[in-house]
Amino acid sequence: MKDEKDLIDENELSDMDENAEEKVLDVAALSEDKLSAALDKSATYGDNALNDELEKLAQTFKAELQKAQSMTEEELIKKGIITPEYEDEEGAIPDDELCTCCGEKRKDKSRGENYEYCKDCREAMKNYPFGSLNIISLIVTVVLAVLSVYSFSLDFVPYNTVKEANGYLKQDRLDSAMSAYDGAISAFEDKEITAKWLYLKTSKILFDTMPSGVNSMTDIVTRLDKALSVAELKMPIYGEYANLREESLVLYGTMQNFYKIVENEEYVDFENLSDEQYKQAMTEIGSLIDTEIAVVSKDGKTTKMVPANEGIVRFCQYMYAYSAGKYADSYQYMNKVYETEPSYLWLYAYELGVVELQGGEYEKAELYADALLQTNIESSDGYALKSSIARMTGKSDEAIKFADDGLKYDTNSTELKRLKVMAYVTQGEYEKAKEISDEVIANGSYGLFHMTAIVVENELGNDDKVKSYIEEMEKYEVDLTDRLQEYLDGKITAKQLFTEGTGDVE
Amino acid sequence: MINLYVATRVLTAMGAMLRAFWEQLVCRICGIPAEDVRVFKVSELCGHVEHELTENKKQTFLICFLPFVLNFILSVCFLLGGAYKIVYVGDLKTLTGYLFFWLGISFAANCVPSFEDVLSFKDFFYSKDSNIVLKVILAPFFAIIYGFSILERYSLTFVAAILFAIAFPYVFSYLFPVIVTISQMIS
Repeated sequence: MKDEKDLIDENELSDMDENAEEKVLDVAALSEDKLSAALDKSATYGDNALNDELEKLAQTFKAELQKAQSMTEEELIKKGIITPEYEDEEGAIPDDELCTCCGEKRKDKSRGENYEYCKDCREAMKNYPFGSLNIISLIVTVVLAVLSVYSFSLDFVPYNTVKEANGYLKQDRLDSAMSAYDGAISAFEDKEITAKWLYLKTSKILFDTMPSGVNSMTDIVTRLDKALSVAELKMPIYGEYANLREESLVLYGTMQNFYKIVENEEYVDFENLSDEQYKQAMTEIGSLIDTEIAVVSKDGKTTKMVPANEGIVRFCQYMYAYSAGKYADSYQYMNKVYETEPSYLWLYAYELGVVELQGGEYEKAELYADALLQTNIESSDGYALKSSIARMTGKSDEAIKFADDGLKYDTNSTELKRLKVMAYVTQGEYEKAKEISDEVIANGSYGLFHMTAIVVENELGNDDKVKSYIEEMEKYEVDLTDRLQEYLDGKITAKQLFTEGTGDVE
Repeated sequence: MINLYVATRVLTAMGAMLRAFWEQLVCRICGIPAEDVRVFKVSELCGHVEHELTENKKQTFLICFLPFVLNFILSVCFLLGGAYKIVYVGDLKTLTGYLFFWLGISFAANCVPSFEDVLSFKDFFYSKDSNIVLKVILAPFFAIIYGFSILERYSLTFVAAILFAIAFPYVFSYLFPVIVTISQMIS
């Protein structure tokens, strides 16, 4: 084997600088390795094959050598064959040229003058390992996300019901909204979930509609007590609900005091009162305005005395006067309800509307009907008023339409069906009227409905049917009204019965 | 301002960690050198991975889009379990509701790419010689990330995330009929 010195001398390498020289020698060494490998194989070759192999190797070596020799130093640096050495006095890479990451190698200036990292570190940064905390976070997150979606799916049906209820509320369909919210509340209660916002919403709807009178008042307080704690009821953000609770309790307390008065032996038979007894009763009921109602806190620990509600007291006076047949008085008291509590539409609007209607004040009656429907577009009282107004102003088709509009929301309303029957009678459509009255009577008795049905059967000449209805009413101790008797006596026609005066059988 | 920014990242730690994870994942997929993958550092890039500038549209799009979409999906998943309980019906007694609600806000507050990435996005997709059709298609997405990345600099994405979480149940409930239809088809 030739040694390094022989190779240098033979190939005239002594004039090259050390670095280039070293590289060339590397190439040579490689060629030497190939040569020695070839020599090792030479035993298996014939003489000609061996010579060919050696010739090839020599040519390769020469070509690489010539190539290296022809390159300039810059080209060798550019190709990465040699690295430029900037030497300071000590012979090491200056600090500002060191890679920021490893601190050992030179910054890769081919990426830019200000590039901070070496090639190796750059390559490593492309495969930066994920931290264990990241992996754990990912797993925990995915598990929790699945649990969250699962939890939502379990409660999806009541959420959908709440969505429907919210939709009804936006359309002012308070009855449907109430029904849907109650459905959702019930579903959540089965899962022992207190749906706070639903209780609060429904308590407000109940207060605006009071569908069940006194029962609604206690229902409001129950819902608010379920939703809010004692501390929350004292917070300003729940002030509205605290006031609602107090108001409901005052209304309920006032009504209870009214019931105590009318249970008195002297006043209980209100249909047969003397004038003096009537005045006495009205004075006693009126004095409730100056009383106070005890409003007890949710935990029962504190009691607050609050003046009785004047509006409800006037309503109590209205009820008693109406029951005693003092209609002029009842109208006065109902007007006072409107004056003292104009927001209590549920208390006065329908009754005042009927009074105005029966007094021929159709425009005023229309205002009350519109107010009822603005608050709750499903108000059967509103549609009843509208239907009655239309019938009494000679618009029987409109009367039927309003009754049908109300029946869309309250399919079981016997009053709206009765108004439809009355409208058909004014049109002379007795068969259509009979169809409805037969259906309603078959589903249960209804005093006023029987009287209306009597008119229908009478117009159709069904005397037997008229007689059986009168007998049924006698069974339940319901007397025929004066107006109905007038009609049966032939003093007024069916059309006059339903379009003039009170416009009704009573 | 930096301190407030870092504080909101810490408050929404899970969202920040996962966003950094997604960004690091995209860097690995696209071969973008990541210089600093620490999630919580006191700088403008807190909650983001510090990486070299992207070199092409694919890298730019993925680094902006993928973390955004993944964190948004996770936010929606958590708000389904949390926002409906807390905001929609008022079930305030279950701890899981609060946990999911907080996680939903965390992920919503950490959807947006860094401002630098958004600017790269703008350079690649909204330069003069970019495809007009692509500009139109990507416009809504770009508007969202651009707007919110500016908000993020003032730590307002946290507030925006809370508002989003409160509005979420009312907006998502418009999809209920679709969910009902799909479940009926499945059953």
